[in-house]
Amino acid sequence: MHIADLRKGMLGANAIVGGAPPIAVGAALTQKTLGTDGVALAFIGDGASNQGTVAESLNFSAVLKLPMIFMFENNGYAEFTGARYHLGGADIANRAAAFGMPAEKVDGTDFFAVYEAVRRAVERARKGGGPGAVEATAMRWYGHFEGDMQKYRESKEVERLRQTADPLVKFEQRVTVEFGIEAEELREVDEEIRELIEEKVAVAKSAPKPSNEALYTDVYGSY
Amino acid sequence: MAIKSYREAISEVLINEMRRDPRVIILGEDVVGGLGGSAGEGEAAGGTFGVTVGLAAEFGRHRVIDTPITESAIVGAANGAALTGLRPVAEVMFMDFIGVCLDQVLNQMAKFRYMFGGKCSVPVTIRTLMGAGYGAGPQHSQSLYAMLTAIPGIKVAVPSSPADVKGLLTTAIRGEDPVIFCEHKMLYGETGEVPDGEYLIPFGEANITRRGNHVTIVAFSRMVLLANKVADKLAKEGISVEVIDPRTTSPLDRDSILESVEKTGRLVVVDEADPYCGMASEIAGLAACEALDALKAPVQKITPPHTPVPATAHLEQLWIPSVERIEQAVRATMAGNRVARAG
Repeated sequence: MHIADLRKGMLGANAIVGGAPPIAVGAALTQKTLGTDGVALAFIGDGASNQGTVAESLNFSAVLKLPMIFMFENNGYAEFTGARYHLGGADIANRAAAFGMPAEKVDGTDFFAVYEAVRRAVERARKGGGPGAVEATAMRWYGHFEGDMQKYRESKEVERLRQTADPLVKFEQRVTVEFGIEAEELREVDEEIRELIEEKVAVAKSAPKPSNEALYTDVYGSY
Repeated sequence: MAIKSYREAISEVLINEMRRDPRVIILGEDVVGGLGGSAGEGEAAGGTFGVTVGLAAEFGRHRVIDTPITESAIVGAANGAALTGLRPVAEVMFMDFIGVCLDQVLNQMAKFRYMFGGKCSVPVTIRTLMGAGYGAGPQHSQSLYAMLTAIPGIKVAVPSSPADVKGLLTTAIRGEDPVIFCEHKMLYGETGEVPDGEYLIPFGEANITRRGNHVTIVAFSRMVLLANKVADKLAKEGISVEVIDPRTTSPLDRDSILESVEKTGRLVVVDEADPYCGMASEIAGLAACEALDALKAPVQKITPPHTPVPATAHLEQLWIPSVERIEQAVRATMAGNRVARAG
């Protein structure tokens, strides 16, 4: 949590469930006001989709026809409770559609399905077509936090998901068959990424700790 | 008397009150857990910190209710249920999330009785977890009780010991007014003697945890433990420190504080909350308004600086008022000096 990269337009992974969607609405408002071709996209979990802020954001962006994508990531669990219980109506896309925006449901483990659905929403938003929603379902492989015993799920569930719903495996099968990319090339990319991550982790771990003065900085622009 | 942890004391009260009164219900996120998961309907959590483990087995899921992650609806539902005959204990997992449901707290539960001409009771207890020290970052570590204390119509408890948890939470659940019950996350493992059987502590009654004549320390929640340490250490040097734990910030036991300040003439206030508009300022103001003649030295406010709670471990430790800072403040007040303010 708390990761952000403002240079890339990434406004933060929010530690408040449902905190982000209205902020993304604001980012979309900026694009519309300034007349850019930018769009805003909020990632919203199945748990967060139940927050009032999400309903308010859906309506607000629809009313103002903002270039906004609601990217619902349904991973089946909100903390220790399953979506089959916590999600009234069991259909997040349907909720978005009720606000008058196009809403698609896709297999979240299928890279191409997600890409195409988001591409359609982005193109529409850029043309002034207003907000859109995509509900991508990809079951969670991990717990809510490191060390979560995951008593809420059947013991073989994750193993089964790893065998049948691995998005990287699905991606590889598709690109090697349809686009003629060699598995070897993908291994090289994997290795490159692994090295990059290891390098960045090492850099982060060896970076000096913030000075004590850092406690008092960045609270205000000026005070 | 039995030795129990702060966490166990909370559980004990919830169990006792649910056995005693069928109108008491618990609602919150994953207070049981496991519904809708692939492992069946069994309890998967019992609260994020295990406070409600086993309660669903005894009282049923109709009284220990898992909600979606939706704080406004949790507190709003507790409000509505309280107006119509139940005694809900709603859990707002972290106090920071009060921000999500603030309308239901400040415009709704706090106002019902007044707006309805006294024709209703609002027996809602909101249990919520506050405090720094867990590395939980700026959005999971705040102690916002002063903000809530400033709202007429709600009561606020900040227990510092397992015994106080038992006495105050029982009073909260049986009372007629909405209560924000602020549990400090760093106190959950702290143990202490807890009275057996019925044990109620009235709100607005401070606990004097150390008796002394030279300096009064008023401290809240976890800060009471630090103040006690300082009092014990300085007692060996002949500096006699009185530590007052108000236990509830609304209502506030002004009399105990003023009586102590009249006796000692020296006041240190320790508050793990912002230096501005907080309880430290409130107590300092109380002394200035009503005991100025008794003061022999400036009042010392020991608080964090006016910054969010940092996530970085060593900065978080720097942020939290320390035993050393409290000790320094007591020594300064004995010498009639000021110490540097934080923030």
